[in-house]
Amino acid sequence: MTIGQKLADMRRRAGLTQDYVSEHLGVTPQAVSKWENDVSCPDITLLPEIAKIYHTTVDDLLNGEATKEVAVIDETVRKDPSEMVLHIHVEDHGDKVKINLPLALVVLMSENDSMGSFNIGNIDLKKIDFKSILSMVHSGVIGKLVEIESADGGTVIIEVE
Amino acid sequence: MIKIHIKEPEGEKSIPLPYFAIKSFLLKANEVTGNREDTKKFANEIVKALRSFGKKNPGFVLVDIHDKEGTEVKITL
Repeated sequence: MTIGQKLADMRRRAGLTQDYVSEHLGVTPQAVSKWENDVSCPDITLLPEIAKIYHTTVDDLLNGEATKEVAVIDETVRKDPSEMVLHIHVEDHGDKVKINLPLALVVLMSENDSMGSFNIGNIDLKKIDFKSILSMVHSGVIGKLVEIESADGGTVIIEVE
Repeated sequence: MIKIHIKEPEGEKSIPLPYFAIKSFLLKANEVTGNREDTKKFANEIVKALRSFGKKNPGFVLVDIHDKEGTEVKITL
């Protein structure tokens, strides 16, 4: 994986747009696009701030693979929950379903008990314990919260970014 | 506006869907199981949250389905 691909991957995992990153760092959106396409590299002085908003370290930006593991983020560098995303990936006998839910929607679903079910594909979102997930997120936990592999080969992954 | 892209072996189509249509779907889907007023409020809030997130993140992929028959469905904001 090139540095550009890694930067793009980490930005997406952090749920940020190129526009947001460029505005936050005081560079043009074209500059961010060039970094991610390996046309140029970010200035070394920007690396600590990039690492901070991507919830990673400068070392990981330069050397490590984009991490998917769980992490507890310090309150001072936590993202606004309204900008966070819950990813649900389900693979079942060749069918793949990826659902990316803005956390604002997850909050609404966790608060609403009047709905019978809320299906996307063959997944009933109402069966997911969103309250527990939100409780973890409010404590600063992000990353892969759930990973299940069933005996018949199906997998379910729930991740927060 | 939400966009639904469907790619099948026979061809592709893209369906633009206004947010108010999503509200109608949510109401219709839950009119039997849910309380009407609560469902209406819930549908309004869901649409408001989607609209707000979509404005900040245009092109955000909400749902991406690939089935084993080769059909792909992508719902984007």
